[in-house]
Amino acid sequence: MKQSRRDFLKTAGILGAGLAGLAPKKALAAPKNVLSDDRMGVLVDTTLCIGCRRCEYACKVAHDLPSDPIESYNDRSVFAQKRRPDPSALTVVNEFENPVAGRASINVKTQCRHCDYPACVSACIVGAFSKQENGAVIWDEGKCIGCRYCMVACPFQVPTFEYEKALQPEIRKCDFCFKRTGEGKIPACVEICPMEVMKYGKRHELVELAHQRIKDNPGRYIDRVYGEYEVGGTSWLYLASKEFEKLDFPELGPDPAPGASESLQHAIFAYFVPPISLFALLGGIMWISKRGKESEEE
Amino acid sequence: MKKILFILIIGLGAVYAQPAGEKHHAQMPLDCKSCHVCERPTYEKPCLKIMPEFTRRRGITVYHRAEDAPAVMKIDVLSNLYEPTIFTHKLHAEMADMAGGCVSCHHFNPPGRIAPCRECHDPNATGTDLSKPGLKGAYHRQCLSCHREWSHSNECSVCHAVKGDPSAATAAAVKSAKQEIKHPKITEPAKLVYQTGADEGAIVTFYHDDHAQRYGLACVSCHQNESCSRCHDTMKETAAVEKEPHDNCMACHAEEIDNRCELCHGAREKPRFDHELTGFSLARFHSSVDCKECHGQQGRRRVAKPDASCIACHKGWNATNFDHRITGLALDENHIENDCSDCHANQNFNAPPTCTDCHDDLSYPKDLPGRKVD
Amino acid sequence: MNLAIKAEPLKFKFFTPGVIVLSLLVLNGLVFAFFRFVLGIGAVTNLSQEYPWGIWIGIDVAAGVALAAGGFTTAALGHIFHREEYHLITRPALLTAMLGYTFVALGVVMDLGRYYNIWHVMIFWNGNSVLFEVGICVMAYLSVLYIEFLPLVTERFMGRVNLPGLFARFNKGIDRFLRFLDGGLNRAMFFFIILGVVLSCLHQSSLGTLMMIAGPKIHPLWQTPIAPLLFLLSAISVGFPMVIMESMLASRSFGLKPEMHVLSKLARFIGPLLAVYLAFKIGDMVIRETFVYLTDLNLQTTMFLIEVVVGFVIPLRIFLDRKALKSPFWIFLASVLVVFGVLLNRFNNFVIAYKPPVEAAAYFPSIGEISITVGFIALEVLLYRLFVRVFPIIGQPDLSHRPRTKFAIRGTQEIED
Repeated sequence: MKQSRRDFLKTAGILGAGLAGLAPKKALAAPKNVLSDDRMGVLVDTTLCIGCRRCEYACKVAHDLPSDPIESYNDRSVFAQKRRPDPSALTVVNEFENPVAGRASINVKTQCRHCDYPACVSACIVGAFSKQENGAVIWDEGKCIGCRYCMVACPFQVPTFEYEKALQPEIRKCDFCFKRTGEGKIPACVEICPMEVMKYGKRHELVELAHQRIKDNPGRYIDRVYGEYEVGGTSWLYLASKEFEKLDFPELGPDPAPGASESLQHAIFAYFVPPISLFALLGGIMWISKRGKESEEE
Repeated sequence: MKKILFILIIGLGAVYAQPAGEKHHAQMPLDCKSCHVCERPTYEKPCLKIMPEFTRRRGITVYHRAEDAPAVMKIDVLSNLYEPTIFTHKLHAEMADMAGGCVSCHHFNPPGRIAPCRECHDPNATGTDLSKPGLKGAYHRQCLSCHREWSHSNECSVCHAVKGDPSAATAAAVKSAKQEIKHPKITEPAKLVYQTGADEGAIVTFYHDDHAQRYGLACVSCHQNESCSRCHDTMKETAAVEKEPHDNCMACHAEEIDNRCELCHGAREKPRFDHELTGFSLARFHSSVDCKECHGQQGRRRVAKPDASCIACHKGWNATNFDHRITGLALDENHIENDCSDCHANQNFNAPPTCTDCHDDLSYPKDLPGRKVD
Repeated sequence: MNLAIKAEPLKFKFFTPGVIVLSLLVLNGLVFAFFRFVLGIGAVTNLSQEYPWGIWIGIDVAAGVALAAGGFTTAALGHIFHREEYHLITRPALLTAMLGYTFVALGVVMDLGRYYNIWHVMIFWNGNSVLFEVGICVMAYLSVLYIEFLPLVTERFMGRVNLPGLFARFNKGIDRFLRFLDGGLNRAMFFFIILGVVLSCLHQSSLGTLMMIAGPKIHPLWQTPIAPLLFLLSAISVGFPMVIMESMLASRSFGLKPEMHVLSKLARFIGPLLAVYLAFKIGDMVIRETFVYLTDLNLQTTMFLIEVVVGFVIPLRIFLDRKALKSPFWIFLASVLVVFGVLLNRFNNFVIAYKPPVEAAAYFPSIGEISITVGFIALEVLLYRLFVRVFPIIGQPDLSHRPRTKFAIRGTQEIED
């Protein structure tokens, strides 16, 4: 088997020498995509969130984005509309009706979920996204060409693009405070939250904690930790008192988002055998049909 | 290597050699599993549960009445930034009964005294302590969980006045001066008329005063999981909507209701409950008797049908010590010596007495064995 | 039986009312393109955080690539399967492909936020990215197309290099270079022709894989694991209809007789190709039971039905009719329908099928987007018109010239021009 493949490659290589030369380089080219056992995560308990939006403020300050004074965040009229993260706000809090009459409405913070198998990392044409050891999925300004395929790929609709900029528009999304965590600090939103809605810790411990909370408080939560299995698992995990679909969480299966396209892609390009075989096949047809025609004419 | 091993053995030995003194918790009447996750916890790997269940509700060891609680508390952890926050503790404690009790705040207290929050909840903790919230989280969760329900706001300034703000200082002084600050008396409604969606008998009348005063039910016997916003909602958004309206009545009245909807549901308001309807008038003798004297306290909230015969309650009564005059009939000489059962067959005092055993031509109530008295 | 035909630059009046209209459209597009580069993408498009891709990707790029498929299908038919009777159409098809892919590249540049970084694709490789594969293949294929077109340049200018004034001194050198190029190309061309077909198969199919990663954001009618196969099959199916449509339009525009003897023969292939495509498309729908979605009537299902019925079923019926194959009207109509069908299919796949989980506002292309897309198409038509004047592309009956196979694998037979 091995022998025959090598033989074949040798033959095919003569025809497709140019292409074949690129093969080994390609195998090494994938961006950093690690899944460390000790990767960090955040558990968001939406039943605790009061919608004070201090996380939005802290996020802007931590990322040097322009922000209104902190008092302006008391304005709850913003909840009239469902908001999404955008280049000027990497995290936003939305409000949803509480199914229990008379109880305060449900607030949900949304931002990048930092998938274990990120679609953006797989999709990015130049590998500008990478999954880091600490769980963060970050974007590399130096590589990006602004194609926005990451936005198409993301199952959580997270990456945003600076449409208003003619030069150096950025893809903006929560970076899990990669700079801060590198300095030993915790993410800005986790730090400022007055209700400690968020817990920052090792993902596997947070999963445990989440299930413990569900067990200890039957009735408070629905029995599901969103992000434990969705699209292969995410670093950010959520607890809620109401079905997640009603809180604008997308309904996603347990398969990683990039799974299907990556395996198909790798099948087509397995050691460049299929393209080179096709090349050889077409070459053969060309040669035979040409010879047939010549002999016919003679 | 040997050296390291030696130190390790000594170290471990020291740990294990600790005498299992009287304070050792393994000897306490506790189930290991309620704190430890694994089979064999060690000092190195105690595999402790995060806030085990018993610490939340049954971990309370100190009890006292709301009246004995401190009236006002001053929270000044952030005195470098804000004026201290004045917490009207007694006022909250008084109302706590209807919303989970003291444990809803004092969810865990080790034996001895009432521990201040900061003893467990670290003032410097951030969101990284998975076992419990830090002091900031603990305070905010306790206050804001309810307060935002009725104020619909998260304004920091409600609790945190910026340091040096003179108006805040006076407000705090006023607040803390009222040592006996209490929750104002709650005006309860006399009756509640519910417009239900039922096709037949849309109206249900509930006599709140009867339940609260006549039947002597404590508030907490119905209002157990109330939210403050039910009364305090500034926007009146959280109207009193009964989620499972039947549960409240059925908890006590399941037996007598027994699928007879018309007992509660009617086309118009129902009159107040009249004991006469049960066939046992309370009018003369029993009007001031506490319900539970007859109905007992079985299951606290269940109304059982008691034995209606007099001697079911008045066990000592017999022919010699019973003064028949209290029934409104003073027996004459001929009858006063009789045994009760001579007239009241089978000791059934609810049925009219029989005269025919002795008198062929007499009958009650046409003929009386004495004279009427008041 | 071989009709001897030699391609020559056409002589016709360049400026007509049509050309002026097209020029105005180009100008309009250029104005918006100017704003796009000065003020940013947001200023001229309706693209949003919810809809990152619009018609520039759906039509300019995806449909552009599909409709340029005539280049590789005719190359395969004419050169690889060596059917000389189709050589007549390979040159126009090659020109369309070359222009088509050039405009695909321009469309990409319009859409890229950091278009000036496009070269990063060649440096920072991400082997997992479908877009990377498409990008590299399109770049490579575009180069191959330019190489394939070079012989037309050498043919046109060999011995005719006549630069004016100062540059006249280079005439001889350039001519020598052209001759050297021509000789080299003759020997290597077989390699590029096969390479072109392979690259086309790769990226035509990979375009179908592109939206797979969007998962549930793509409507199930289009989100299928065989999307790459469907894309490849539809690209192969649209190659010949595109050539037919174009050839007939060109004939009419330049006042030539339509080459019915070639086109009718070419049209015979289309029916079976469409049938295979439809078999897979419908089969996929039946196996995945996505037909259940057709019961709810909305934009997506309507577009799907239009795409399948108008774009594929009706033309299939026409192409399977023997009589219709001989009628210029019917094969033109059917070809236009297939072109429309594939264009709509690509548009549907990339724009209509895409629904973000949380949607504040639906996407509708802005005037700017439409202007630039229309401007590109107009410019493409104008360039086609210009190229056929300058280069020997459209064949004219010329009995004196014996057709010869220009490109062959070396070793079978040496061929001199």
